[in-house]
Amino acid sequence: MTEDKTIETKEESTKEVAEAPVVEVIEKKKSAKLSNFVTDFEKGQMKDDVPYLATGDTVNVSQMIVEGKKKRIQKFEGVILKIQGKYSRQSITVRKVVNQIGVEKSFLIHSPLVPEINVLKRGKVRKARLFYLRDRKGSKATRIKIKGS
Amino acid sequence: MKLKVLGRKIGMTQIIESEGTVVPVSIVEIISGQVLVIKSEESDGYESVVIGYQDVEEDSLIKPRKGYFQKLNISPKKIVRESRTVSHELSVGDEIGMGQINVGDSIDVQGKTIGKGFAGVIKRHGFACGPMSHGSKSHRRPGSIGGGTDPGRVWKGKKMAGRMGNKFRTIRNLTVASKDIENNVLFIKGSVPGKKGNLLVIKVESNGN
Repeated sequence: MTEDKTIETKEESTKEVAEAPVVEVIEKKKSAKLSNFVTDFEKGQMKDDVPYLATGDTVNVSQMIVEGKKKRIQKFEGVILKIQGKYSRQSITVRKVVNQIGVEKSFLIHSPLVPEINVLKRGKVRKARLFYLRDRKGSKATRIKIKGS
Repeated sequence: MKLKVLGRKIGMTQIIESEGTVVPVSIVEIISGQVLVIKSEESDGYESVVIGYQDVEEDSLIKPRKGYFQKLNISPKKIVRESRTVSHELSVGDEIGMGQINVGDSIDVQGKTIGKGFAGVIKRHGFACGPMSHGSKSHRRPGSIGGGTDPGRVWKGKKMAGRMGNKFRTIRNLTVASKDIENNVLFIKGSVPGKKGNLLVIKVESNGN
């Protein structure tokens, strides 16, 4: 607040004196900009339509598959085993069990090849990474409490 | 020979392209420079371009350097480097920086690698480890270093433990993925030597050649 006042008073008196501190402020901002340049750049690459995701959630992920000139969408439904990375580098690993064989797929969630992620259930889990599901068999392999139940 | 453009490493990230390909990039802040002297065959016996980088206050320079810049009548610079290159398009006072680099260019990047300290032969030269069990005590040892009575000495250049890293290294044929003129920042595909803040020399094919 005090800085603002001083600049105003100087502007009233003479223009040349008032211009000097303004230039200083801009230079300081520029250096601060570059120290966060990587994070700002990554934030700029993020998609807006990605829903809030947490480990234990059951999701349906659409993935664009390009075969030559043809494009088609493949869907993969399962539990989020882990969330890795931050900002535009963030990826999720989704696990499902098919014919008693565990299948895991990881997706870069901000990639244009992942057009849609639907959250089907919110899971209530106590770990950040659910690797214990890999050791489970039968009905317990996919059992996760629903949040709020 | 190539023109030298200086830069500072900011970090690494990835660019997600519209087709979905992900490109790993190093981010480098370009330190803009100015041509100080152009040396020629007639006056100096060889051809080169002397470039000064990064403006500094005059008081931070030693006296001989101050005089050098006063004589040239150019604002003082922190770093002065010479590029053995012939460039007919450059003249004294020209800006060296983003203008010399185009997206898609093939460049060489030089810099000091991260110092690893005193490292053993496994880390330094990629030797194989000894057995970790069955009573073996030779876990990370170098093993035999040569013959016996004949030759009676160790061969020169035998790979042994020692200081690793903190050396000036060149990485060749890196491509410029993209550039941000507003922030004076370059995106180079692949990795470049050193830690964040490391001074880098980017070698670019000069326009006049």
